Amino acid sequence: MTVVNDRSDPGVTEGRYPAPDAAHLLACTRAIESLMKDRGVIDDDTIDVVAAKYENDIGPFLGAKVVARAWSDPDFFDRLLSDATAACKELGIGGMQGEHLIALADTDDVHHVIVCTLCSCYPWPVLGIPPTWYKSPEYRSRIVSEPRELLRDEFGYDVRADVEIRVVDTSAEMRYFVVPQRPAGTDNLSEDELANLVTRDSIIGVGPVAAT
Amino acid sequence: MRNVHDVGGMVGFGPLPRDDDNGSAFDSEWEKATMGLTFAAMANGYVRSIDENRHAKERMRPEAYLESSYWELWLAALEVNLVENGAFSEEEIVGRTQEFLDDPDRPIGTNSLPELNDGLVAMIDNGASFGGDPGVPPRFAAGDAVRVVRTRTRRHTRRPLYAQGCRAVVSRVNPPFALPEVIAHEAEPVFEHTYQIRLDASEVFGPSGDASSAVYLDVFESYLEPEGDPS
Repeated sequence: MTVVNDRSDPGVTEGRYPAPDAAHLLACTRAIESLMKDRGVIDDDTIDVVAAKYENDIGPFLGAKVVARAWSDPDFFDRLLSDATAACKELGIGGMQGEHLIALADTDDVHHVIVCTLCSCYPWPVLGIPPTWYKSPEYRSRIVSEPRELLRDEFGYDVRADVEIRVVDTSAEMRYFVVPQRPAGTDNLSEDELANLVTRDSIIGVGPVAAT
Repeated sequence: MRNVHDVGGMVGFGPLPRDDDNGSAFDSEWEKATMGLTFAAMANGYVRSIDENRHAKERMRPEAYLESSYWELWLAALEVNLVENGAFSEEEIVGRTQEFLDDPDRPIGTNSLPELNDGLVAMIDNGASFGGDPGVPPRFAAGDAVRVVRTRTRRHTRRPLYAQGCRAVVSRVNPPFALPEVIAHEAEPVFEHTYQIRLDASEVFGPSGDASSAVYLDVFESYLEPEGDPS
């Protein structure tokens, strides 16, 4: 057991963060990029290539596809619950921060909501990059102690008192996402139409799915 | 380490910040750059693990952590990792930053390394798991009564304060992964079995907790002791 770094002090962040303004942050990223280019360890397009994946290719529409398929196909629903990683892979969905996915199916008696209290872990392959509020201390703190109140106050989502709320804290390597209940009155909808109803917030667990 | 990032259960933070919720992944060029630079740094071994990167954020002074925006925390952690892993000196980073502040049109340089981009896209598409074999069978099984062991470690831990000392029941046996306390700090990882545990809100928050809610937490094996264990 070779210790590489046992530091617990702020290191170079001391006195430099938060930065005075966005110009400093931009200058800092330019500086690091140019230092890496001088050393030949980054490509001219690396930043744009990585960003494009999360701006274009990956987002909540993927999670909506998974949920819509689960609602439409009971066998897929079962496979999703028993091995969400493999089931999502059937739809070509998976990858970084989703190597070990678990689908949490809401029922009449149980409602799930996900959080990462310690940082911002999130099932990227099915939802993309999390919204600011999900990553905020405001959410990460209160969802644990006041879940029912937070859902009502912030999202207008009233979860009945007899429904158990399970707050799932993403504290290790598993990545969780919610399979919300299919709303009534949607029996005649196609899978694509169902997917259009499924919102990012319903897959996080902070809102229900509306029938229209 | 027990610092202000460990906010689970606190109630003083106020309303959620919802103003910028427009579905965009990034709100500025520097945010976009911060993600790409961090990924490139990891690919080059300048950041040794995600846990090491997380710990760098957790080491910030409480006021610095709370006043920095989300991507600012990423950039701060990247700087810490780059300097302490010997990629660039603090003087180089601060000096070059000042050059760009003094002259925003300073050329950023050019380099061709398409294989890095291909590798990062493959990592995003296929993932990169931190699993490994602990060499022993799991100590606990679903249904076991356990208690979360307290700690005052200054190392990186994924053991929130709200759960420490609490009784819980194992709800799932999850795969083994690299223990954060080791991978963030040492050259060789140590793998432990992990578990999802269920903590009743009444256990975490006492009689004032929501009687019909529960918190589920993923923990490493060394975070648990059997309930009833006279330790």
